[in-house]
Amino acid sequence: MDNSINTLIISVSGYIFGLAGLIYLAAWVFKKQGLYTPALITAITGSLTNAAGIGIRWHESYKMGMGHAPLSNMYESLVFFSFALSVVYLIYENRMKIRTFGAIALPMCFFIIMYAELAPNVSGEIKPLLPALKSDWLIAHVISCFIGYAAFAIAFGLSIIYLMKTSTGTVENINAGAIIRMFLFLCVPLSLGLFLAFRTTSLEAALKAAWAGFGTGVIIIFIVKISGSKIIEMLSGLPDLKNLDVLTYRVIAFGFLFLTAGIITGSVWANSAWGSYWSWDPKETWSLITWLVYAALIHTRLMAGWAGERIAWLSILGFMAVIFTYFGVNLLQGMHSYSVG
Amino acid sequence: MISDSEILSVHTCHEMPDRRIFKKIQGPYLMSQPLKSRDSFIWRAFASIRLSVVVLFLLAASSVSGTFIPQGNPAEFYLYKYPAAGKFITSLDMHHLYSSWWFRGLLLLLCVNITVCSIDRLSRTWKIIFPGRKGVNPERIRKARDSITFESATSKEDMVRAAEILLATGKGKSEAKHIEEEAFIFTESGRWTRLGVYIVHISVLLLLAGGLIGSVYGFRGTMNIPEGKEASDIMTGSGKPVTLPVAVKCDDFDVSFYESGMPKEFRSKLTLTENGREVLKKDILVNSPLRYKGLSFFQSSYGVEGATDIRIEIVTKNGEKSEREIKIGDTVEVPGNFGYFTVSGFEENFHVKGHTLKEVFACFMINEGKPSDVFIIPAGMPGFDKMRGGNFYVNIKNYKKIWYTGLQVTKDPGVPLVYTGFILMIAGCIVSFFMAHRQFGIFVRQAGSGCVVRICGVSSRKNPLFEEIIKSMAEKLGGKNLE
Repeated sequence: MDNSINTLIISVSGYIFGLAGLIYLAAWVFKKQGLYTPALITAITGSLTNAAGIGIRWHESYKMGMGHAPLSNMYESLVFFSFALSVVYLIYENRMKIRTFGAIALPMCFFIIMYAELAPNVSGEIKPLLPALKSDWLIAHVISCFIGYAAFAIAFGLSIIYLMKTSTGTVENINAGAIIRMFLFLCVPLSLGLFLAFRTTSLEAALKAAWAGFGTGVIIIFIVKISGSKIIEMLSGLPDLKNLDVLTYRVIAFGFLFLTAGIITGSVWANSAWGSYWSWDPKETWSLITWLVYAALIHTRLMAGWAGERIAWLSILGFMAVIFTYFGVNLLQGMHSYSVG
Repeated sequence: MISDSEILSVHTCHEMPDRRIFKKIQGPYLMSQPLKSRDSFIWRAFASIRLSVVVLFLLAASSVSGTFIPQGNPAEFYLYKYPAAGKFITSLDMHHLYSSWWFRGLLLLLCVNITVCSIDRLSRTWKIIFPGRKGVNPERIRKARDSITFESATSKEDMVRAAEILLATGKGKSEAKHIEEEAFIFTESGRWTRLGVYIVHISVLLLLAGGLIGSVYGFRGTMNIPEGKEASDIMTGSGKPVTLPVAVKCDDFDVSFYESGMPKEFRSKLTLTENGREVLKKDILVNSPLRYKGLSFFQSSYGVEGATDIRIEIVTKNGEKSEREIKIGDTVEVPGNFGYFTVSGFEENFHVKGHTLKEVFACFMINEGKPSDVFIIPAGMPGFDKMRGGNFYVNIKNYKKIWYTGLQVTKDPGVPLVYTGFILMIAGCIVSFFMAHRQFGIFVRQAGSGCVVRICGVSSRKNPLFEEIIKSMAEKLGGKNLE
């Protein structure tokens, strides 16, 4: 980790996101409506600070004589991901008028920036751009993809909440079936996602992270089991299932548009850099796989009988594809590897 | 085919476009309906969205396997690396997964599915977009799910006028109809947005068509051209050379580096000649290719081809020093009658005894008519040649590198189709996801000195805020205590 100003500001923004997340959580759990305004203000502050960090980093790269938009390595992409997530969330909160979800979205921003800070193989140093990366299409491509990822991350959170609601439902006693479901939609994505995020560091770190994710899931299930009706009461603060389903679908549609634009700008960039708009490179292929999963999800809504619950599962599967596209492909070969710096 | 003792009407719900609800209105007999082609099993199978979902998942799953199985290696590689599954992999072409017969078959299936689905649903959509003289049916609007009914003390005439003004402020025209005792004021907008879905699907067909054309009629290859030379042949991935209709000359190549040693930019000055006539001169950079008549030339790599303007210093054992500037292959006379000296070659990296020497010149001398064995002299190492123990030694003081530029040459006639597909897909997604066909109807009926108002809204897209819109409309018309 270097000590330049931009990484410092980005760090600070991470902590502000964490604080905002805590305030949202308090507002939700303790049902204090008055806390939502300070929560929103903190979240906006975090977002602006994040943006400032990115802007200063851009400026610093020019001062160092290797000016380029800060979107070219793992650190920069993570920082932008966090920013996109905060912006998409804030727009979402404003348009759809639900605020409780901030308790999930803002902590996600916090964790993303913390990962960028602490993961050993992610370096915050500003490096010059390789010739192939010098293109305006690059900027459009990365921005588009990450706005899409941000939307899918929000959909992922909403789907977890949806499944949490259907698993706890009106039944006071959360039975074995519900626990197995919670295991599937909490522990599996968390451990798998964290495993992939840390795999490029080392297998050891990845396994530890996977266990941490697994453990977190187990703790949440445990809390849910012993709190019983309190959890159901808490969850009722969120929109009902039907609205949750529509909200999830709308954010997925938004994400799908930007993922499509991201794949397209990436293809145009590839065509202008090496004459081929599609080479079945692992990263290209995985972004297509993600696209196909969400396309299938969009079409299942038209199929009678595929209710909101199956959509929620598909949304989680789709986000797993997003995580693999982002982190997993660095483990396969190809020219997209962010693992180099 | 439909006897006039029966009326069969077909309603298709927007929520379940996959099923048709047949309503028998009258008639004692249910006469068996001869199968129209649209109802045949085959058509219905291909028109089903369930098939689309299955195909999309199959494409996703098979694409996943293609990222875990290394692609493009010869069959032996898999038999060796995967002793158990190797044969399975090669027999199913999973090492060329994305061009395999079954993957292309899935893509073809998707195309057929898209086409059949679109044809199946288009006539219905067309009738909604262009309803002709029939216009809207108020009863359908009345049954809308999003609706609010309230009573008002305002007179019916005043309310009707207010409703007309309210609806006129939105998009689309408003029209009022009077049906018996009830006034029906109506507006709609965005009928054309129902075409959005078809645009998206046509774009997919265009993309796949463009891809197919590119793979059949296109090619991709590389050519390395040393500075100052010209070439017309490229080497494709399959090993077959292709001769281009143009000759490419590299006038100059330039590479610049960052302080760290990483490459900053590569640039080639190229001249294209067609039929002996110069047709194009351009500088290309990595992200800025040269395009001519469907061919594209990309700066892809570079290397050192050789050396020229080599400055050598010959020191004889008498102490006599002389400097010359030569090219590879030139022979120079060594002063003092010690024979002749020639530089015959240049290697950027020369490996000897586990070491790598950089920038090495191959040389030999001719003494009394007999050429010696070839010996090496690295550039910039004065005195190295003393070790040879000859009558003279040579220092290579300076030289100029001759670069070759590595170009990637492609031709893909499918690109215009693919790019059109890209544009249509974005446009289609925006229209189908973010625009809607909306209809608003306000029914006003006299009730005493006041009236009863019912506001209904229909949208082609589910919008959680739609209810709010209806509510605010009701409030604007003076409705209170709305649920």
